[in-house]
This record gives sequence, structure tokens and C-alpha cells, in this order.
Amino acid sequence: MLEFLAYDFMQRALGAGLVIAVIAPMIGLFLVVRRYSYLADTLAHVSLVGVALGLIARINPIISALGVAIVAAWGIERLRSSRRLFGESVLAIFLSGSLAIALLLMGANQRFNQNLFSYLFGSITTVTQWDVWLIVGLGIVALIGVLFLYKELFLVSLNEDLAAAEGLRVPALNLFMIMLAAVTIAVAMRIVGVLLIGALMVIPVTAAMQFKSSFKVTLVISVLFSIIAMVAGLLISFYLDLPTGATVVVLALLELILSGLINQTKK
Amino acid sequence: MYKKITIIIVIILGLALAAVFASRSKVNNFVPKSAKISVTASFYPLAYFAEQVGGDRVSIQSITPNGTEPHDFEPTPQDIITLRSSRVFFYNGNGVDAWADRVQPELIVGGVKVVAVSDAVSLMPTPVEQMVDDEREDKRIFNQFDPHIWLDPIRARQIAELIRDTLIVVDPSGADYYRGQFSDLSGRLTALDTDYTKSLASCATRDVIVSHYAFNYVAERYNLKLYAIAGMSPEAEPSAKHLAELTRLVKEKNITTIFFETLVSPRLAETLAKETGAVTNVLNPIEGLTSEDLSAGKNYETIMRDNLSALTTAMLCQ
Repeated sequence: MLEFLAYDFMQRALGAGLVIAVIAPMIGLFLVVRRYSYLADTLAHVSLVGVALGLIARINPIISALGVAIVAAWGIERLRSSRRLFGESVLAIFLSGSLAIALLLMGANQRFNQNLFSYLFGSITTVTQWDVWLIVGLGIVALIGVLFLYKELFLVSLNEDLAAAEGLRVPALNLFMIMLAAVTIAVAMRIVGVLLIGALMVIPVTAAMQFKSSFKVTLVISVLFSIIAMVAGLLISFYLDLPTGATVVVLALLELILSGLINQTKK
Repeated sequence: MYKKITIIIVIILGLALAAVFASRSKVNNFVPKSAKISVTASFYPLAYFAEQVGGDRVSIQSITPNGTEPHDFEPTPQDIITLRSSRVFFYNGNGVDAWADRVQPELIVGGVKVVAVSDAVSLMPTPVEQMVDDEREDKRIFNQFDPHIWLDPIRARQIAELIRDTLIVVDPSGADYYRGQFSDLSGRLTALDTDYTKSLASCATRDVIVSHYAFNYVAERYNLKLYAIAGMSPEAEPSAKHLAELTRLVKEKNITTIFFETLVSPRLAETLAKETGAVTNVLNPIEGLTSEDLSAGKNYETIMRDNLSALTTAMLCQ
């Protein structure tokens, strides 16, 4: 059963996958409770622009995607907090707008067709050692960020006005959280692919929420669910030759359905 | 609550275990049972040459499956396992099989002999002068060298020579066999070259419109002038401006035929043909066989001859 670990690329995929599985639901939980699930998907599409730029400039696309996603995260947060646009409109604009820009950039550079798919849907066979170190490094940054500011982020997510009354710097915290989301996406992009990152940040969290526990316990359950889905997804996709990102997401979906069913029958 | 969570986790992990056991027999098959030398090639033409040279002494597997454009291909984990379990891996390089560049360090560590067949031939730079203006600005991002070396019979022979020498290193006891197999193939490729030279010697036009720049080595050897609808990658869409330029070109030079490729939709070639009154025909860059090709018993050599007859018709050769 462990023979899949005999392959370097599977070790790399597992290492990177575990980092993603831990931080994606952590950040995702804060987004979900403030009804901001679509932010993940939007930033994922934005980071596609970064991928295109990275391929043009011949730098690691994870780094350029991170840069672009952080700038966009800042822009989204500014527009949202200015309240001149509805929050969800801002997300829709950034999502489709950045996809258009990414397609233009890639269209002008025909060589990218072959690379585009590996970023849209993820690819575990061509993750390099350098990618793994980058993913681990960024993952640790995100993890430390959440652990250090857990209480503050928690308050801001639940009630911005209350947090402000408590004397917290709400705009700065909002910005910080959305940037953590950008980091998570840049990290997850290589493995699960741009189109499926959102699912990884939202579905395990929603599944954990079915148990109606405290914020902290929900956080732990969602991380647990996402690790299980990631490991099982890697195994299944490896042995049955299925696309990895999609397998992981479908397993997470299954966890959500099971959680819903189990908690419904109780009454 | 913990019980419920445990149930869910057990179900998911159970699925994973079921997948592992379901594929047990499959995984074991990757260890070659025969005494044959296992050889992998990144895509069809290389697999074909290796098959011709290696004959009965090797078992060949092409990693890019039939009917798939190698430019778009990404290997699955099972492909990597197949690669890892082979003795020799032949790949082309220069962008056709870009994934091979990425996986090869791992293969070398795993003890696989990795051979880039481009090393055997003289390469031409990617043709900048044939691009339209807006493409030329982007030339720095294209691969420096044109990868489509297998379409030139002479370079194909040089590739086969490198394959022969590699196989002799890996399997010295078969040296005489490989030499014999190679000289058969070499003779056929030389004949192919002679036929191309003769058939394309005197033609009404030397202008040929193809769907992407796959045929530069052919054009150079047999003195054709190529224009491509798309650029280097077969599925890139040309701009409207480029299509308009090509339309003008077809009319000016009285080009009879717009060529398209087997693995790519003929949509663009048809648009251009309709616009200009030319006909469309297939010019196969032999990046992979379709299942129809296979059932029709086609291979590299027969398709090279199909291409030749399509060219002689299009160029109105005598």
C-alpha cells in the first residue's frame, strides 16, 4: 500500500498536498463564516493572470501568481470596504475580468497552451522539488499568520462592528486575511488547479460545520476532513489513474454529504 | 460526534484502500515479465523508429497515447511509473514533449537512460521570418529550435542511428541484430528521401499553406515555401488579421490547397478554404496516430508517402 511513496514525484505531491490540506480549510473557515466563499475562487482566477505573467517573464509561476493575487486581494478589499460596489459584484468583476486578461496573455503567447491545463486542473507529476519548498515555506507563513492572529481574525469574521468596538484595526485585519487567502491559493494551484482551489477551501469547512460545534472544534474537524480527502484522493488518483484535484474535491464533497446525512437523522 | 466523524473518515479511507486493492494486479503488470529490453518513447514517431531498430529484442511503449496531440499531453502517475520501469527513454525535446524535460531528472536518478534524439541532428531555429508581425514580437518566448525533426527522412535516419547506438550500449549482445534492423530502416528512409526529391522537383508552385509550422525541415530539404495558419503550436488560434493576410496570399499566389492536420480540428483550414475557393487536404505532421490510422494499418512511412502525394497534388507537380 505504501509503494506509491517509492516514487519521488508522489512524495513531493504528498508533501505539498498535506500543506495545502492544512491551510486551505483554516483560511477557508474565516471566509465561509463571513459569507465570502467566492473570494477563494475569484483569487484563484486572478492568480491565473500571475501564471501567464510568470510564464512570459520566465519566473516561477507560483511566485508571480502570489504577487498578482496579493495585489488583487488588496484591490478587492479596498473596493469592498469603500462600499461603492457590492461585495459580490466586486468578486464577479475580478473573477471574469482576470480570466479574460489571463486568456489574452496566453492567447498572445501560443506556447502556453500546453502549460495552461496543468495550472487549470493541477498536475502532480510535474511538481518540482523547488515547488515543494516554496509551497511548504508559504504554507508555514500562512499557518503562523492564522495562529498568531486567531482571536482577532475570529472576531472580525463574526462581527466587524463588534471587532471595531473592541478596538481592533478591522481594515488591516481584513486585508491580512484576504492576503492569507491569496497565499493559500498560490500554494494550492500547482496541485489541485486553479478551477478547484475554491472547493478545497470551502467544502471541508462546510462539512465540518454540519456538526454545529464551536469555532475551534469546527476548525479542527475541517482540517481533519481535508487531510483525509487529500491523502485518500492522492492514493485513489494514483492507483486508478484519475485526475488528482478532481478526486480530492469529490471526496471532500462526499464528506460533506455524509456529514449532512449523519447529522440530519439525529433530530 | 467523534463517532460520526470517525465513521466518515473510515468510509473515505476505505474507498482509498479499495482503490489500492482494485488496482493491485494492474500495478504489478508494469514490471516487464519478458527478457525484452523495455523502451519508452515520448511520442509516436520515436516509438516507431525504436520499434523498427529494436525489433524483437525490445518492447516499446509510447507515453503519449494514440490520438493525443503531444504538445498538450501531461503524463499521469502511471505514465511516470512506466517510464521509471523502462531501461531507455527516448524523447524529442524543444517543446513537442515539454513534460519530458520536467520528468527526466527523476528518471536519470532512477537509473533510466534518457536520450534526447534532437542531439543526433542539426537543428534549425524556429522560423521567425515566416511569422506575421504580431507573432514576431513574441519570438523570444518560442522555443529556440524547431522540434519537428522526424518529418525529414534524412534527419529521421540520424535519429534511428542514435537509437541504434543507444540500444547497443544498453544491450551489447544484440549489437549485430540492431545494426541489421537499422540498415533495413535506413534503406527505406533513403528511398523515401529519393522519392520526395524526385516528386517535388518540378512543380507549378512552391508555396504551401499548412496549419502550423511543423514542416520546416521538409520545406528546407525539398525547397518549399511554407505559410502557417497558426504558429508553432497546433491549437493556437490565429488573429483575424493573420487570416486576412493569408486569404490575400492564397489569391495572389493561386494556391490550390489549404492543409490541415489529423489531430487538430480542420475548422480554420476550412474557413480559409471557403474564403478563397481553395480545397482542404490533410498533411499529417505524424505527432501521433489516430485509432483510424491504426486500424487502416498506417505507420510513419505510409503517412510520409501520403503526405508526399498530397503535396505533389497541391503543388501541381509533374
